[in-house]
Amino acid sequence: MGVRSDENICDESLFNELFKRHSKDLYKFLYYKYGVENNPKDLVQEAFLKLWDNCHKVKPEKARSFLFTVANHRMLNELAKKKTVLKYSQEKTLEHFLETPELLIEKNEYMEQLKNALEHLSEEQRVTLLLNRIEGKKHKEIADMLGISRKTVEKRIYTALSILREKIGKI
Amino acid sequence: MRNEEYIKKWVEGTLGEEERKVFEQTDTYHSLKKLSESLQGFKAPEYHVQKEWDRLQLKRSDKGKVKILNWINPLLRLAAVFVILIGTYYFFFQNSTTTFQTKASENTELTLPDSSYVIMNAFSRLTFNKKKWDRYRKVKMDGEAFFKVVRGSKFDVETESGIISVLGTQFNVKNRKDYFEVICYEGLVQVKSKSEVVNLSPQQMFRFINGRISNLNNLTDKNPSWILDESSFQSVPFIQVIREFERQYDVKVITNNVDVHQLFTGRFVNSDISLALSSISLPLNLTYQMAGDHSIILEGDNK
Repeated sequence: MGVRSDENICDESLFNELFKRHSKDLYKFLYYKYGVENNPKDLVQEAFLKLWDNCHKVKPEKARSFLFTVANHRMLNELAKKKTVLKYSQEKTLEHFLETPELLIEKNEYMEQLKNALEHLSEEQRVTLLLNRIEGKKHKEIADMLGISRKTVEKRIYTALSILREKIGKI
Repeated sequence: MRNEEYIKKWVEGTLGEEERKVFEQTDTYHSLKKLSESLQGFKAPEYHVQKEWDRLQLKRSDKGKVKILNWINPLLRLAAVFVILIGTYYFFFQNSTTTFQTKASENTELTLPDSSYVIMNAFSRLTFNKKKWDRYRKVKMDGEAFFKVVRGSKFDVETESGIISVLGTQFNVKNRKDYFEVICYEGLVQVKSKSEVVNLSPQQMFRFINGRISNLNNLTDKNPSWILDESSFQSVPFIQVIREFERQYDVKVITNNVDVHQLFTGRFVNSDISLALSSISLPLNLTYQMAGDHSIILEGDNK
């Protein structure tokens, strides 16, 4: 990882480096797991503030798991946790302009159903599936991120896909 | 190979070349492909690392400020305790209230800080605050007093029955049990009682007896009579006359078969008790009798 373990997180430049390296992953993780309504960006900030408060105790190589654990616990402690809400956009499809209104409607319906199905997956299933499918994270990376085995990651992706297919199978 | 196994292997990425070709012909593959592509639309909103870092710096500096305040707080508390202690000290030990009091058959003259002049009749009490005097001329009065107020800012006399406000003038205030009377001798006097506000010009009087208000104009005296050792009354319930008599001579008057509510107009001297007794008993056909040094019996004639 290139971080020497004798270095101290209280060092400003190292702290900044850790932020650059981990904040984005932490954000994606929180977003896919808990949705946009639970302020994933603020949770990232809180996790890093906590890391700074504990900069003497946490070794640099443990920083990543510290951040993920803190953010996750923080989220679980939140009594009034909001329902997971995801957002989608279709702007990226180039064929957009060529599509007939009927096709467009059909596609919208499909996306609505998919959104609904995704929001009903368990948090673990959803975060695993989306980190893999959308962010292109390798199974091993996800396993490290979530602190689970690679086998479990694959099983979760498979289960999540089955559930989604079942819910919107007709289309 | 069954669908499930194909999917598992597809997920794991362990499909062989042949297997993949077969799988790609199936509907399952196409629905999975569509699903997978559609999922791209759910990509998390862009995360700007630098922007978020800057935001974090702001929060960290805020936290720093909080720490500084926490450090200051105990000092502030200590300072507050001192302020309270000093305040209490001044309140209790530097009390700047001045009080004057007269006993029975006693008159006192006094000069207030602005050289306004006050004569207090018997059994009266007057207090004022020296420190606040420059800002607000105010005295509290219970009993009877005559004021000659030097011109200047508002001058207030606070009594239980009302507040008398003047700018510079001469007036008499009599505030006794069931009796409140203000007479203006010079200038303009404002009387604020619970029920109304009255402005008095010279030789006018405001009187409040047993809940009844009366005003008298065209008084002839230039000064209250008691200053000249006389007590004078104009249509005053007789009981008030008796009480004034008791105050002036430090005696107890017992009435027997006397209508104490009838109105009395007249005067008695404050320096000769026999003459004074005659002055109040003869007009009402009363007889009097000394009973010891400090009691007098007043008796009506028609038994």
